[in-house]
Amino acid sequence: MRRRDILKAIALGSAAAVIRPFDTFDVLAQTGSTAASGNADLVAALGGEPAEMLHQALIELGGIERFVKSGNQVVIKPNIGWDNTPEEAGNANPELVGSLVRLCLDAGATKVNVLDHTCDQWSACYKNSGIEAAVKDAGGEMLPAHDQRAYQEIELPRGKVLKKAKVHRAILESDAWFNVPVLKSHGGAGITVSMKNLMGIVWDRGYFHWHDLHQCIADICTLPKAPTLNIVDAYRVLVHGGPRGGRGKDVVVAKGLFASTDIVAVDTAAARFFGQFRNMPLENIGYLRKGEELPVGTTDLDSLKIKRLKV
Amino acid sequence: MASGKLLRLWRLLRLGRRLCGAAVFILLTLLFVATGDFLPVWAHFTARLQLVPALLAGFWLTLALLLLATVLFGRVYCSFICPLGILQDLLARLYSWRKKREFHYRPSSRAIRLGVVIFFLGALIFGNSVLVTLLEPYSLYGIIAMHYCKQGWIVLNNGLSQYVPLASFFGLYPLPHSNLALSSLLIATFLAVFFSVFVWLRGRDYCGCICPVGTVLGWLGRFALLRIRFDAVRCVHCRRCEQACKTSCVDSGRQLIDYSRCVTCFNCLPVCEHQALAYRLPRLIEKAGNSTLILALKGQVKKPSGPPLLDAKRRQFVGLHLAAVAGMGGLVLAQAKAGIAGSTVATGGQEAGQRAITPPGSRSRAHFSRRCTACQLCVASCPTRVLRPATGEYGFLHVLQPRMDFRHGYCNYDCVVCTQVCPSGAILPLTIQEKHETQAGIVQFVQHLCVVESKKQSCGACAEHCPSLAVKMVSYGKVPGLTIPVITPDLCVGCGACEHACPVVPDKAIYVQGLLVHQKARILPRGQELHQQVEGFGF
Repeated sequence: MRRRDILKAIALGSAAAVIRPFDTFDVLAQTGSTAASGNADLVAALGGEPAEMLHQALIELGGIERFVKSGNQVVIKPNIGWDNTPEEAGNANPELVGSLVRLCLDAGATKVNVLDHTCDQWSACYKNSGIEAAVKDAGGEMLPAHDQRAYQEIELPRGKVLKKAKVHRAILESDAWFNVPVLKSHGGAGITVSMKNLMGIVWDRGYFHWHDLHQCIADICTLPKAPTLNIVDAYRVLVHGGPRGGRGKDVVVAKGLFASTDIVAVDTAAARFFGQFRNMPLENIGYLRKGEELPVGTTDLDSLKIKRLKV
Repeated sequence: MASGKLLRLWRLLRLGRRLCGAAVFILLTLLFVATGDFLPVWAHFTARLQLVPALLAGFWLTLALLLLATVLFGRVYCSFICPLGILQDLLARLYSWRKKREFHYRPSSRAIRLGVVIFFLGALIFGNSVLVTLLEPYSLYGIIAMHYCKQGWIVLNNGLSQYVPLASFFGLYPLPHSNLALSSLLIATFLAVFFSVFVWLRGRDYCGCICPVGTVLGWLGRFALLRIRFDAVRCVHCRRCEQACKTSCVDSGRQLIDYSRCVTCFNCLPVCEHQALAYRLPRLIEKAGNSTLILALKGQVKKPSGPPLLDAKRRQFVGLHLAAVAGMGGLVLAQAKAGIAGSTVATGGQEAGQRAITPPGSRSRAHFSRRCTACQLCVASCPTRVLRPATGEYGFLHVLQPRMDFRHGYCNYDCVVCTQVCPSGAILPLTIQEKHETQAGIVQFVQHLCVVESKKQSCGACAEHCPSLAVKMVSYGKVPGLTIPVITPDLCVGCGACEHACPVVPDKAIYVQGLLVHQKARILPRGQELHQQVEGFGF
């Protein structure tokens, strides 16, 4: 299976290289032929299945080997906050998480742990999101994160409001970790993407809500053990009524994916993408500007080398 | 030859009783230790077989079977099915581990037994309360099992998961403790200590002299078809049978057995070296050849099974029952008062007047209170730890009946575990669809306490947790992106997710007000998948 996946990835990657000249929306990007000379800062993929888009995006970013070395302990932190089905789009896409687990193992990771400090009852979230099954199928392991003893307090000297936080040990002890949020609307924060997803590695979320949510979200992004790569799942987008999916909440099958090491940039890109479905000015998403001020990244997409892929 | 065979038969009977008791006891205890729907559905028969829950739930077939079994075989429920009885058997066995303990015949107080039964039945008829809970054997065991077996297992599990290498590989991860109350812990501790001491002092005298279920079954047991019967000629009054009887109902001297107290444990049968005891049918069905046996039976039939009531005793007996009835009346009045007192509506903060919330499926406070025996099975099974034994929230007469408490969690929208495990019909089974349509409480929003109003900062914790869109965020003020909750009460199911998530302390800015009668919640259609042709990236 794994060999086949690699072959598929290579085939799709070369296919993408062929298609690229026809991508008329590629106006703002660097010149089309730079893929070989340097890695993109931010990759946006559109129109494919989650696994395909992930494979291609990683190729543009320099391959999974750039992030995962042989013998590494890897942690993946998808959004598994809700007891939702994959179709309800409250959680990251299970197919995406599963194929990322497989890629990490193929790159030589000794262990891939997947965890989230869920909002709904954790085992129901793990199970009904489809992520548990996908991860186990791929050879990874689900790690519970509902027990305070699994968390360790760390200092956040660069944080403005959030000066310390209890972060899950598996993240702190990992060699590489992937932040895999799902793009969706959020009643309090506008939208939730990579930065907001970090609330799921923290024990006490109530503090965030009580002490300026946007500033705390920006502050947690200053943690020394920053995510190795942020991969935003925008395959199904919960446009209204998020972040919990469910009754009365329609989902747009947008088939998008964004990836970058710059957590603010990838969220800015995702926010712009989201703006196509619903009016969402960037100034409404307070943590983006606050993140840029700290700084933990940039909202200036023009300063980045962006790769746009149509799969 | 024949005697050896009989002895083997008696040992087999005793072994059968022990095996059946052990199986029921272990399964039932596992039911209390497990969380969610961990155990298969059939394991729940151990709880469904319990007499008082079956009576309250209206499981007439179960009830008829239990009564029929008693008429045929004596008080088999007490030794084969009742977890409290089996627990006492285990304790008695533990106590005679090193040194054999000997029991002796003791008469029972008819006044106490009848008084307890009248109290108990009165409490059942006039609305269930602590009187039922603290006398009903299955629930007593449930309270002990939830507090000690389950929490004990959690302590052990958490130790193992921390110190055993590769614990996660074996699926061991730390578990949170159940949502206990100080009152429930104290009561459970009292019960555990009481039974440990009482069994040490008096064997299974609780079953013989106090338990109302035992007394009612004892009335039937006195006329059971199969009974342990003395053979007067063979008996040498050696008292071995008497010493083996945990309920102290065998009088070897007078060759009497108080059948109202005999729990058919069969312990007396194999110890008799003279085959003077037999578990058998009465003389009518037997062959008429054995004249000594018939004589013995005749003699036995004529004798009264209990001590005669003296005049003084009779007076005491009547007085006690009058007092009991008066007490019942007082309790009924107190209950009626408590019911009215619970109907105030909150005006200020949450603590000012929040009414306790009964779990979904319980229909109304009245339905719930009447049927719940506070066995704690739902509290033990609740995966989100939202159910918690009440202290005074329903009035002190309904102490230990579970309520929804949002301190540690909230009721999962798609979970119906408690409605499936309840053996007494207090929480009726719901499908997930039915649960979505059930409103156990109504959301209340106290805007001046809200972070958005008081600090002009974003939050949205309540709306993000709301599974039914009863709470959603709308634009607020001039700050771009700032939103404040608005509530749509008819969509609310009363799950408490908003209250749990609200960061405001000490009084939450959003909370759930319990309903005395559950209502129907409006539900929104399930979300659609919109396949939209997305052409651009948006940047």
